[in-house]
Amino acid sequence: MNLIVNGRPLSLSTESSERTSLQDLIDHLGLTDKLVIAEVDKQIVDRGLHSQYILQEDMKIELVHFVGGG
Amino acid sequence: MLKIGPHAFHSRLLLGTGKFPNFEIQKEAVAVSEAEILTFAVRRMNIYEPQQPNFLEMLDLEHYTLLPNTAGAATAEEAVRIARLAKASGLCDMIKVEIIGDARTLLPDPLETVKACEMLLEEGFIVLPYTSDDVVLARRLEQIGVHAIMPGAAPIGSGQGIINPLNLSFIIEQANIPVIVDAGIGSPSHASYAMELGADGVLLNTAVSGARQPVQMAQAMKLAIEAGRLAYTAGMIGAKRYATASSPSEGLLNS
Repeated sequence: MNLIVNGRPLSLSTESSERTSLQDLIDHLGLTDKLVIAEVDKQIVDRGLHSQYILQEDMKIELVHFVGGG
Repeated sequence: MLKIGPHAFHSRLLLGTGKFPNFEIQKEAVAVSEAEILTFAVRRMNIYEPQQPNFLEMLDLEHYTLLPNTAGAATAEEAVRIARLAKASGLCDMIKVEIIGDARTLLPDPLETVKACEMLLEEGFIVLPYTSDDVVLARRLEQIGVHAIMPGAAPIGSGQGIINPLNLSFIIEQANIPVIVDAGIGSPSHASYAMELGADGVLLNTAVSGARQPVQMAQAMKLAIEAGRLAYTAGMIGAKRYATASSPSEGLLNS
């Protein structure tokens, strides 16, 4: 599955029969234990719904967090 | 107590979390400052370095209220997008609206700021706009319902202190919501001066994070803000042109 994650193309190898959730992507990137805020095609996906949100080809995903700032 | 919307705080120092030398120093500075409100920015995660540590993970969030900012936004729409992302963390309901209108001075865009505040208030955010020290703009923002007004003392990170104390005092006098002086503070005397003028709080970052000894400076700022507040509530004497003797004029030996 081809996605755009944080502005860059990312290819996710998946079993064709399996549906890939947003949480699967987060796990794949090694961000499981991080505070991840996600936006898919400019729509925010609540943190509690990451596992239920099924990704589609060419979706644009933003994974953001809090960093130091004034 | 500093009351912002439904929240109440003992500390009147709001501390930014950017540009500290390392997390250990930052953690100590935050503790010493006794700040209860910490600002953060919202940024893309580095998905190629997933284990990169994050300062937020080191904090006991029960003790702090997060004030994310919309830094990086140049329009109201961009600010609202960032604010929504921040709120989706489930960690905060306050937002510092920061919409930069000029790259060199980092001064805020007043029109976009008002527009963003209106949209965010509509969505139920606790809204704290970073603004210039414009008196009428401050009043207009209060009229639309923002929860605090945050005029800059001087350009962000400049350390110039309060450039226009007159405007700032006009803003403070007219406001029925907290006025938090944000940006441009360089020294404890600047912070104390803001409080002496009657500000309800001071938000600073670089003055502490950029100091040679950030932890020590965090303490200096805490004390300065407390001193300034005490002086304001104690009621300061007005400045006079000529001297007034402190010692009695009766009973002089040579009279």
